[in-house]
Amino acid sequence: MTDHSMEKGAADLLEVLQRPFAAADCQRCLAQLHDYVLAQLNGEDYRQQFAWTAVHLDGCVACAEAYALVYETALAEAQGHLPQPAHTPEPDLSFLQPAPWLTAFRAALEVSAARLTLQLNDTLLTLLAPQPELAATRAVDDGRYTPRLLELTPDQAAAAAVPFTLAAYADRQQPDLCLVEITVQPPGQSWPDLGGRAVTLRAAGQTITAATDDWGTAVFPDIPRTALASLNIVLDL
Amino acid sequence: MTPPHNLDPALESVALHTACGSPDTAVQTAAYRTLWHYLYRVAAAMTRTQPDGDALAQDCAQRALLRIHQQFQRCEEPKAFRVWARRIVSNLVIDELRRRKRLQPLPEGDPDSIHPDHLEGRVFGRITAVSLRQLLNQAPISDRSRRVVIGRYLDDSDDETLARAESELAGSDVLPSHVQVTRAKNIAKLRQWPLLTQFLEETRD
Repeated sequence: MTDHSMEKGAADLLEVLQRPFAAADCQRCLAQLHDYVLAQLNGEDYRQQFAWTAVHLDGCVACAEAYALVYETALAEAQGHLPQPAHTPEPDLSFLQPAPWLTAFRAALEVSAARLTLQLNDTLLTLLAPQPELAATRAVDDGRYTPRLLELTPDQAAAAAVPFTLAAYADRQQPDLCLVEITVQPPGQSWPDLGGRAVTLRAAGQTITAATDDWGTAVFPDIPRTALASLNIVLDL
Repeated sequence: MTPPHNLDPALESVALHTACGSPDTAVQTAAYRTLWHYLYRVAAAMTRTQPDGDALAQDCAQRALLRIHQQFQRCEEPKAFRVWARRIVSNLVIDELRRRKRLQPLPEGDPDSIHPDHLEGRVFGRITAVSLRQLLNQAPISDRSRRVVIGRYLDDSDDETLARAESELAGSDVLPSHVQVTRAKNIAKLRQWPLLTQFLEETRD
């Protein structure tokens, strides 16, 4: 070791001895810890690559102990020595089961290459009913269309892998009627290229077709509320 | 799904990633069950010295499983799926240990605790590697602690080298991680050592 590097080492040590660490430093260290360990196990110059982390680990006992846990686990796995527990409890895999609404939705959906058909029913209507606190007013109509009667949110559309969202609102001026709003947004497409798609509604013996606007939205006012549970929606993709 | 044996870890990782993302519920469930065994094994290894280690491991592995499912799309490199999963469960264990204050700086009754008898000594007038080494040689820490501090900073040794030397001296395995923790604990002690504080104040003038 040269005199120069020894003096540099002394300066580094003095810095570690005097440097206060903040909680944010520990978060930063934890974020880099796995890459630090990976580099170390791969025989790379980890102290050079992660100089800040190396200094922090010397100055923070809690992070050094966290590092030791990560290092020793990764080392054991790399060497095929990760301990096998005597007993492994059963996991809770209930999160893998599709939500009831999704099961009902999939059953009500027909997809072909260029057309998508959704047949609503009583079950689906119940499952897509918004929570009371979420039963919002349609923003553009000064409170005429409220509350929201059913909704397929963007998150639900993503979960069901369909390129549209759906909402129906009560019409306060005509209590027996409602407004149905469908927004179509195929993957990779956005405003203003979403206009001109045909959306067809079959309800109460009537067939109504409307074209989407540039935002992809087709609006159907004056739909009988009693027809919601048998609404048939056809989208041309 | 039975965990494949003797398979290239990267291929195993890709296969597990593919199965976890499968639209076939049975395949996906089996894959998550395989993943569960791995996550629990990692968590149990990390919590094995904790008094409630099994329960802690189960809790962290379960939370990791759910998080992996929720953030599945964020794993853009299927070959690194297992490493990504291990990172998630490890971070959850560390967070939990920190929350429970199980990653403690200086345990009480540590044999290396600073003792007033060690406060005598000569303070050096300027900061040099030589004077710092002389000061550390007087420090109230064990010889092994002194070696891992001086070795890292004044002899430019990496922790692998220091661990090998300590293993030979101790006649038992000392890992680089032991060296790291020992050094961090002793640097924390040195920060409280009055002679060093005095040294730093005087050399700062």
